[in-house]
This record gives sequence, structure tokens and C-alpha cells, in this order.
Amino acid sequence: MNLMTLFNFKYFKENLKKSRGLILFLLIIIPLLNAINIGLNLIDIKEPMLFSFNDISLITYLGMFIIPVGLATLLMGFLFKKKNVDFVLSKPVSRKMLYFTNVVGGILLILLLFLVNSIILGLFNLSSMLVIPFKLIIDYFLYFTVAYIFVFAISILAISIAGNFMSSIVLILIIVCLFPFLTLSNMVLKSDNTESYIKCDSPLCEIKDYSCYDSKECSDRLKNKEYAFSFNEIPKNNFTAPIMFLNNEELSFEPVSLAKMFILSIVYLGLGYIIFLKRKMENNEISFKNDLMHYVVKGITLVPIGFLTYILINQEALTGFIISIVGIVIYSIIYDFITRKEIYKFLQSTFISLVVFGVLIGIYTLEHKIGNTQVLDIKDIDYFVYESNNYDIKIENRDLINLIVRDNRANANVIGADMYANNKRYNTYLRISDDTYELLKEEENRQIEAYNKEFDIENFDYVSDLKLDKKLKNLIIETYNSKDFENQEKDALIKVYDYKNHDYQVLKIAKGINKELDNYVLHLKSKQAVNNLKDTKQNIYFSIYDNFSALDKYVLDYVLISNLDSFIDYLENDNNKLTEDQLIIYVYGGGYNFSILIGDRTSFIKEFNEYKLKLENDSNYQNLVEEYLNYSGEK
Amino acid sequence: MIEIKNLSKCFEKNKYVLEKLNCKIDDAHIYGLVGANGAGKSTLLRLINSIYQADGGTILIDGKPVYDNIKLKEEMVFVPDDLFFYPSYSLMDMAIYYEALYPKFDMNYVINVANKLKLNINAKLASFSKGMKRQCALICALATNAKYMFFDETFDGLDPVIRKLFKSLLANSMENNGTTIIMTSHNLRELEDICDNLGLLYKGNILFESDIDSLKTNMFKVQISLKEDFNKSTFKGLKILSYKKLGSIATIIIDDEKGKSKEFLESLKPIILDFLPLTLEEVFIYQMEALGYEFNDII
Repeated sequence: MNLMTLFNFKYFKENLKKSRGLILFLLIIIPLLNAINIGLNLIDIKEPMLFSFNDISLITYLGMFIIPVGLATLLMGFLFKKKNVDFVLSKPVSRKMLYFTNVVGGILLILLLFLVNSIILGLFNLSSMLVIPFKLIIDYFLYFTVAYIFVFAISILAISIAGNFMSSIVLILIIVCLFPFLTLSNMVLKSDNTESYIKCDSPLCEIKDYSCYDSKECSDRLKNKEYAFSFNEIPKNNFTAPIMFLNNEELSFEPVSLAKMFILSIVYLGLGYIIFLKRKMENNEISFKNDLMHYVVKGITLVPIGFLTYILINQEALTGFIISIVGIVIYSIIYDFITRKEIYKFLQSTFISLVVFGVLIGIYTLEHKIGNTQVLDIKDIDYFVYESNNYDIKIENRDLINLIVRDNRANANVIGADMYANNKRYNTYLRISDDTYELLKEEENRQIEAYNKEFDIENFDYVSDLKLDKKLKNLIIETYNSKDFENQEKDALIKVYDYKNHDYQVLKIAKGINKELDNYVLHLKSKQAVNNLKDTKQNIYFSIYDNFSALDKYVLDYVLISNLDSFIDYLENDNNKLTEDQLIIYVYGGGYNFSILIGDRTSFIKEFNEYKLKLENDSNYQNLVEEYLNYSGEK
Repeated sequence: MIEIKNLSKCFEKNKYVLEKLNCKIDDAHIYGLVGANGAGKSTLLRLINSIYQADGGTILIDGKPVYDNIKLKEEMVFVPDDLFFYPSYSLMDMAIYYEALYPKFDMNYVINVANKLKLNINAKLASFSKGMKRQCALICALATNAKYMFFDETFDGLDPVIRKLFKSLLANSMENNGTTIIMTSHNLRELEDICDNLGLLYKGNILFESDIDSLKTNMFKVQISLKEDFNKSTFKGLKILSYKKLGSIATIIIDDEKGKSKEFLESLKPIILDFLPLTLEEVFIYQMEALGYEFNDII
């Protein structure tokens, strides 16, 4: 069967036409809001700005709750009204064709939406102040197209099953939220566990002054070479849309989520197809004509409600219990009223709701009790991962892992880390001694060096805070190719960013490796700073964190503001060489902050002293000096 | 030809709306389907038009199964009793919609009939009265030039003048294009002057069907009075469907299959002999009574 013969373009065109206003709104709103959200950054922008996946995704993410559900409702919503079903199904289109046309059409609209959105994102690069790498836009396009199609597929499936608007929404929520909710509630209920252990047979793990205090569990386990180690399981970051970021701090590209959503979209659309073909159209408008199905779906909706009330009961036993029962009765009535448009079999329905609620509370209580008494143990750690200087450091070395287990109770150095074991991810803290810390640092250096070797120096996207021009790019490539730069210990002169493997890889280039690069960066920064200063002469404040005298620090702001034009002249003309002895002046105000790098401290101090001399007869300056002397007690 | 064999449909378990219904409708006929509310008329039309799926039996049109058959559906159009229009659509928009889906759609027909009926084709249908909306639905359906047309409670909401106009449009369509029209109504009188075949749907099955011409020409009502005293047995040679005597005058409904009843009655030399026309409703009433049903319970 040629699938394309099932796509009836004429029907699709007419179907779009009937709701053209709404569809146009759904297609335009995300690109428009996204463009406004990103475009607002262009107002008063002083330095080039690099966008992350999270930065460009927020509006799109919020739209995921509306756009695909809205599209599915507009395309398949004829199922919500019997007379609409009569109208559509009596026309020369088969059910197969109807389903295929609406699904393919919806997917095409989503593709169009993201094509437009991606083009707009790409156009922002023309401004040269906003940097959104092409590879990031591809990731954005791929990820959100699949995510929107996934939510669209769920909506199509729910509408095909329910044939009623409210029940469709309930079903969408169930399909979307139930599994992640069960995972998270399970984690919450089990998070009260008091003890956790790691088995380690290596002599490296043994520690002489290991104390179990009064814990028998601990003593017994110690005989079996199991050491107390604090950790908590965290769910994997592979939930599906629209709550795929539930376990993340920010929106990011998750390949596992993407693959899951892609496969599940096919499954849901296939399932929706079968259900749509078999659907009894005489039952449309009514929510689950079958009583059993009605109660099953209603029961599932009680799962999160039961969980929240369990938490309430747990804290306020009797009052919570009474409130919960009243709440469930009210919920039961409202649910029936919304989905069945009547107070449906009041006694039977309420009774069933209360029984389901009781069972759920029982399950939650049991789960919580088990969670309270459960001892977590790990027989073998696969690896640790922690972040250092923007790099993900992965500790797979067995000796290092064993030393970390041994050091567990040391408090010299504490590093937040993820621990991977038993194909699970745990959150933990590495409490390690200075010796182990040193070994970790060596490992870090090795890994950072390896990362840097893989850096795509020919095609990087962004240099921290600077407009990238040809000269700068060539100097960076030249410096990189000299293989003679340090990365993490010294202050970075610049950070070079390359979007690779769905995240930014950062290359730090320290000062002093390439004098020409140093001076050119200083030149660019000074030019930028001078421009910023020229733009913002009002309401600014200067400060310095340097080896300046306390009095000079105190009067710095007044002196520089009083000599602002001379200071700008100095920056434009004299400050074009980076010496070993440099300093940074911070500028606050005008709604943003920036820093001015002074390349030659000696020359600046000379200049600064001249400014002070000019102010010798200035009463405000004198008062300021007086004020400092009084305040510091130096008078 | 439409051929329905053992068609069954139940909405609730073991509660059949249609049960093993059999029916044949020849091409180029106007078939009227009558029955009380809930008899299954609309369900039957929805089954024929692939809106509902049958629980048993088959529906064949021109020898082919009709369910989800796009080629056949291009030759079928259905106007349900509860009309649906897209909220922002005008008659022109609806016509364009139909034109996109029906290959033989005639846009000029829509414009001409709309002009004749003084319907503004560009006005929003939402602003139209119930009757005007039905007119629009009927115009679009007729303009499809489909071979099979199905109308549920066809003339509901139309005034007598418009009704007459549409009846003539339907008759023209049948005559000019050989269209087969199936229309339902719970009101027999509405169908009698347009249908040439009638079926009576009762409790999910066709209880009785016949062509109207033979029904009307074979049956007649006679008022008769004889010089001598007489009773039903006096007319023994006739097929009497109903006999009522009031005083010296008897009113008899006769099924004159052989066409010799008139001759026989005149041979009795009656004092009064009046042949009165029968309405279709009366024809049905007497036929039902002859079959042992109380017509008023059915319609």
C-alpha cells in the first residue's frame, strides 16, 4: 500500500481552512515570542552573547503544553461532536485516509513551525552580537520537533480513545505524567532511608579508625567489607516530553529522551490508528461509555491526588484524613460532572473512588515504610562524575575509586558528584583527604588535556565576551597549534566555545602564552570597554579588587568619574600593551556590569596620581579623604 | 442498486437498533423510509454512509461493500437530521469544501439555486435560520451529482413553498441523472407525493415495503348502500381490508389486485356507490391492520 495515496491534500487543505485563524496563531506564536525573547537582548547589548540550548528553549518548552495538543484538537476534534462526525465521515474519505491525513498534516505543520523558528534563530547570528551556533539550532530543531510530535501523538491517541474533550485532556495527562510521577513519588517515599553502604574488597578501602558508633548494621557490614557511604538515587534524565527536564536544572538535549520519544511516537500513532479504525462513533461525546473504563481512568487520576493527600495525612494524621475524604468525594463528583456532564451514579461512583483512594494510601504507606527501613547498598561502583572548571571529570580508575571510598569520612575536601553503579545514577559527596585530592587533580589535568586535544579549533563558535574577527580567530588557532598553553590553573585570558556533542566544549587560553594574542585581546576588550564607557557616562560606579592602597580604593570611583574624559582618552591611546603587571577595574551601572582590563599597572598608577593632583582643591574630594581617614582611624 | 443483507447494529449489549435487516433499493428511485422515533432510520443511513460500523450483515452498493469505500462514497451524499456547519463558513465556503471532495460537484448549480432561493452565498451560515441552513445543506448535496443521496428528516424546518421546490429538484435529479434517493421521515404525508417506494421500519426491521403507485392504484375506499339489507358476506368475492357499516351505508377498503371489484360492486345495483381517494397514510393503516399490527403504535 502506498502510504502517500492515503494523504488527501484536498481534505487537509479544507480542514486547515476551517480553523485557519487558530492554526496560524499556533504556528506563529512560538517563533514570535521566541524572537521577542531573544531579540530583547539586542537592546543595550555591550558584549557578544552566547546562547545555550536552555536559553533558546524556554518559550518553545512552554508552548509544548499548548501547540501540539491544540493542533491535534483542531485536526481530530470532529470526534467530540456527533454531528461533526456525521459531516466528516459521510464524505468521500475513508477512516484510514482521515487518520493518515490528519496525522501527517499535523506533523508537517510542526515541521513547518520549527523550520520557521530555526530560520529566525539563525538570522539572529547576522547581528554579530548574538551567537547561536548552527549545530545548536540543528539540535533545537531535532529535539523539539520530535518532542512536539510526541505530544501530538499522545493527543491523537487520547482523542481517538476518548472521543470527548475533557476525557482526552485527562488521558493526555495520564499518558504524559503517570510514569514520571510514579518514578518520582517512589523516589520521594524511599528517600528516608537512613543507611547506605558500598562493598569494597580492595585493601585500599581499609581504614584503621573506622567507627560504627552504635550501629549494629554498620558493624555487621564492616565484617563483610561494606563501608558506610552516603548517597541517594536520582532518576535518569530520560523522561519524555513535556516533562523530559523534570530531573534537570535546565533544558538540555537528551539523546535518550529523544530516542524514546521518537519510538514512542510511532507506537502511539500506530495504536491511535488501530483504535480510530475500530472506534464506535455512536459513543462520541460521552466519556467512556463503558463503566469499567470510566472508573479505571478515574482511578488512575487518583494516583497523584492520593500521593499528595498521603503526604498531608502523614503530617496531620486525623485532620488530614478527614480533609482527604471530603476532598475525594468532591473530586469524584466534579470528575464525573466534567467528563459525563452529570452527577453520575453518585453512591457507586463515590464508593469506588474512596476504595481506590484507600488502596492507594495503603500502597503509599507500605512503600514509605519499606523506604524508611531499606538499607541501600552498592556492590560495585562503575565511576564517579563531577564538574571542575566547566569540564565533566569522570573517575573510572579503580584505585582512585577505592581511595574515595576509604576517605569517605574525611572532611578536608568536599566535592559534589554523581556516582554510577548498578546501571543507576546516585547523588553523593566525595569527602576526600588532601592526598586523594591531589591525585584527583592530576586525573583532572589529564582529562582536560585530552578534552582540549579534541577541541575543534578550526570551527569554534564563540570567544568569551568578544566579537570574533579573522585576526582573533587566526591568533587563537596559532596559539592552540603551538600546543604550549595551560588551561585550568592560571586565569584564563579568553574562553573559546565550540558546540559539540550537544553541549559547549570550552577551551581556556591563559595569559602569557602568545603575547600577540594577549595584546590583541586587550586591544579588543579596551575598545569594547571604552565604547561602553562612552555609552554609559551617567550613574556608573568604579571599583577595584587589587593591591591598591585602601585610600586609593576608597576614592577611586570619585577620581575616575571626575576625570572620566581623561580616563577614556588614556584607555583609547595609552592602554594598548598587556604587561605582566596588569589590573582590572570593574564598572557597575546602567543596568549591566563590565570590566576594564588595564594592561600596564605602572602607567595607570601614574595616570591615576595625576587625576588626584587635579582634585587637590576639590572640596568633595577633600571631604572624601577626610571621611576615609576618620572611618579608618588613620587620622 | 443498494442491497442490505442481515444488517444488525446494537448500541448496548444485546439491545439491537437494527436486527438482521434486509432490503433492496433499485437505482433511479426515490425510496421513503418511515418509522417512529427510535425505529432505526437514522442509524440505517449512518451505517450505509460508513459513519457507524455494522455489528453484522453487509451493505452492498452496485455489488460492492460500501464501508470506507472511497470510490463508492464519491457517489454518495448524506444530509443528516442534525446539521453541522463550520462556524465561520458561508454557503460558498461549504460549496468549495464539497467541491474539493466530490468530483462531479457543480458550483453553478449552487449559485443558481441559491439565487432562486434568495440565499446570500457569502453570508455566514451561523447567521441563517434553521430552515435556511437546511436549504444550504440540500443545495450542496444536490450539487454533488452523486448517484446515491441520503436525506434524514429531509424537509424538517422548511416551509411548504421551499419544500415543494426541493421536491421538484430531487425529482429532477432522479430523472436527469438517474439518482437514487433515500429519505426518511416520521411523517408519511411528507413523503407520499415524492417517493415511489416506501419502507416501514419498525423495531429494527423493515416491516413492510411496496411501491406507492401499485399501493394507491390497487386500493380504494368505497362508500356503498344497497336496497336490501347487507353485511360483509355480501362482498365475499372481494379482498376486503376494512369493513365498517354505519346505518345503511358501509365504508369498505378493498385491495383490488385483479381489477374486477368495481364491476362486481356495480353488479349489485347500489343506491349509493362512491369511490373515494385514499391517502398514503390510510393505505398504510389498512395494510398494517391486514398484517395484524396497530398502525398508530408503529407511526
